[in-house]
Amino acid sequence: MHGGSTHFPIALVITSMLFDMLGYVWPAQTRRREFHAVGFYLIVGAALTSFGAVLSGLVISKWVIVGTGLTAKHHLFAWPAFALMIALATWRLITRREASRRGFAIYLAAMVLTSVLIATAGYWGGEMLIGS
Amino acid sequence: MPFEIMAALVALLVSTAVLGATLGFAMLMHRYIAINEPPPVAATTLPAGALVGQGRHLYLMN
Repeated sequence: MHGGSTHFPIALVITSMLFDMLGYVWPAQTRRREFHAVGFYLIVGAALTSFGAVLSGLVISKWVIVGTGLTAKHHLFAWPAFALMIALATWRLITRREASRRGFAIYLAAMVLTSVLIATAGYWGGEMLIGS
Repeated sequence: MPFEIMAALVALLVSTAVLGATLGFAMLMHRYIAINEPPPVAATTLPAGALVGQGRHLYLMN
C-alpha cells in the first residue's frame, strides 16, 4: 500500500511547484491566476495524501520513525518533506491570493526544497525495494 | 506584523503539531508492538518454564 500511496504526494508536490513557477513568470495576468489556482489545489492535495503515505509507511516499518541503513536514509528525507508539505499547504490556505510577490518567491524556494527532499526520500525508498 | 509572516507562523505551528502527533503516535505504537510481540519461533522449542529474552522483555514458556 505504501508503494502506491506514496506516489501521490511526490507527483502532486512537484507538479504544484512547476505550475506555481509558471504562474510566477507568465506575462498574462489571467493565465497567471489559473496556474496559481492549479498549484494551490495540487499542494493541498499533496498535503492530504501525504497522511496516507506516512501512515502506510509507518505500518510496514513496524512504526520505526528513523531506523537504520536505507530505512534511516529514507526517513531522514521523508520527515522534513512531510512537515514542509503541511506547512506550505497551510500557508497557501491562509494567504490565498493575498501573498505579495516577494512572499510568494520565498514560498517557491521552500517548494523547490520540499520537491528535492521528497524526490530523494522516494529514491531511497525505491532502493529499499529494488536496489542491488 | 505583516499578514504573510503571521500566516507563516501559523503554518509552522500547525506543521509542528502534526509532525509531533504523528511521531508520538508512531513511538507509542512501536512500544506497543515491542511489548506484545511473541517470542522468536526458535524459542518455542525450549522446555516449558524456560525464560526467553526478547529485547527488554522476558517470556515464560508454557
